[in-house]
Amino acid sequence: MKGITWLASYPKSGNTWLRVFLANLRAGGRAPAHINRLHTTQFAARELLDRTIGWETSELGQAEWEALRLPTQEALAAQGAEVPVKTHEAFADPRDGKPRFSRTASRGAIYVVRNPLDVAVSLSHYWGKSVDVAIAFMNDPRAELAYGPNGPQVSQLLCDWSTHVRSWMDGAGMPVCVLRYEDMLAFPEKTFEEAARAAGLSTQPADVAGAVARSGFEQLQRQEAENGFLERTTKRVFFRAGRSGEGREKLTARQVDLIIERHGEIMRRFGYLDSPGQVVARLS
Amino acid sequence: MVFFHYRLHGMELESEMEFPEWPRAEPGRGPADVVLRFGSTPERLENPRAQGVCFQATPGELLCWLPGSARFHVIAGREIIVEAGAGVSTEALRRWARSSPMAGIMLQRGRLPLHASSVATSRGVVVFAGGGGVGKSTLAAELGRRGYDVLADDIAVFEVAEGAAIKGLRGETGVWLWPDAAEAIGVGRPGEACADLVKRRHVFGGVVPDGETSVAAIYILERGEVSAGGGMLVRLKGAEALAVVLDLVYRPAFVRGLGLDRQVFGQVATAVKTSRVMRLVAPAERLAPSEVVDRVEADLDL
Repeated sequence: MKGITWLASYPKSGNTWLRVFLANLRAGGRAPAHINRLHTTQFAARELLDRTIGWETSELGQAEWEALRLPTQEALAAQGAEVPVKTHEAFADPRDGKPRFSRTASRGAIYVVRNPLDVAVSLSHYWGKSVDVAIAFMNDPRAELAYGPNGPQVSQLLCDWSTHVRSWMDGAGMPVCVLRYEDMLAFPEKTFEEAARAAGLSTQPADVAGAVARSGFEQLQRQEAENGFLERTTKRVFFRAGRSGEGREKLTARQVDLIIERHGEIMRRFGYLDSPGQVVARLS
Repeated sequence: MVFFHYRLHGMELESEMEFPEWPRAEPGRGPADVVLRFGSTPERLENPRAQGVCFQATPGELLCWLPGSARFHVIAGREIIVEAGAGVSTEALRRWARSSPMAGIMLQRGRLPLHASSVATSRGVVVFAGGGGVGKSTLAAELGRRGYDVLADDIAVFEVAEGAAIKGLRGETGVWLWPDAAEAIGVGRPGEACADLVKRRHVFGGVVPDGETSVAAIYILERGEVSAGGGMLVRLKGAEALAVVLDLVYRPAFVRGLGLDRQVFGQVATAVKTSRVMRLVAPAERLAPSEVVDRVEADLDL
């Protein structure tokens, strides 16, 4: 089936690691793919959008750009290149329910979800802001990533964390392969095999195992230390910890409550909370 | 009907729309090289060789549009027809006309438009090229603040004769800066406000020579990290330089559609042969523009 395969996630949820794996799987070989040459299209990248549209997106008003979103995706799909496309955006704007992604241009999506307690810690580190700021952002129904009109990316609507997850899981209207970041850590070969299948790539055990081995977190950290990471949007280290459980270790009880109060339903759905509402220490 | 007369990018242009950003000229004795007028445009081109979401191109014609807002038909290097939608502001029309349609007419007229800003110095024209938001205008403005003559911003146009050094042509007056970029280079005085966006035009009173100068260096601005042991400036040569500059022609898809691949390839080949092409890595943590320009001045021995 033709069309775009969206690699979707809320920020700091494992999207880059997934893309590293897919790049390694696609390339095969012995040398690990480089984090600065993942050959993934990023839908929010102005350079890509400018070339496809024929106008500078920085010269377009928000309404003008929004009117061109879906035609731009359809034009990208029509180009026929089978390169997955990364996005951090929610699938639809809850204010009007309109999809922000063209179903006709899409083959499907791989969506990575991560425990929001860990996402909060990771976001705070990456931005250099307090965890409270990160939690407020994750709870904001109108949250967006905005780098300004002179930044390399157009603004991206995230909504709050739960709405983001729900929009892809329940509202995309296309095949969506949902992966948990924690399963990528605990059961990498099984989990990444699902990603490979969803991306239409080889699922041969040897190929998957090799790609997993070449995508190890230490490898990514080493590459970032040596050459930097071009996709980084802040000064901070991108590949920082690569583990789960930091939220339980570092958030205060109040901060945990703030997150559970807002996102408990989705957390239960993914096994991050048990039925009584307690944070699950070890996922099954 | 009132027409305004301008001279920019080496051509005489007569326009029904007023462009405060363009250098005025006295009406010439003969017909202008290019006429920009209001009129109707085709819905689509027949058999376009290249097309995108908002453009189609075929030899001799470029059609660009913003749905519901405006359409621009660029014809044979002689005419730009503007069809405005209801309620569209003149400022928006001017902003759009100055970008892709202008690049299209330059290509059709045999010039080489690059996604770049350019500044005249004692060593020749310095070009800052690169994708959107990478800092071309900011660096050009910093040089303007230091007294150099800014020739062009965002689209820099060059005259290329085979075997000769390429020449930078004077374009719009002023540099359009976002507020944070203006603050970064300490430009305190307010420029003109654009009603639809917050970019403002800043005019610098640099030396005003004839306006045609040979290109000394093309700096390709890229976001990235300076690798351990590496430098911010790396000389590019041969095929690599050619590929990088070709990619920064405004726009490769227009070139293909207009059937100008061979022309533009030859022009870029001449450009990289006769000028220095340098990759300038802008670290993610963004050095102050003044520090980057210090290095450029040192590199050029200005």
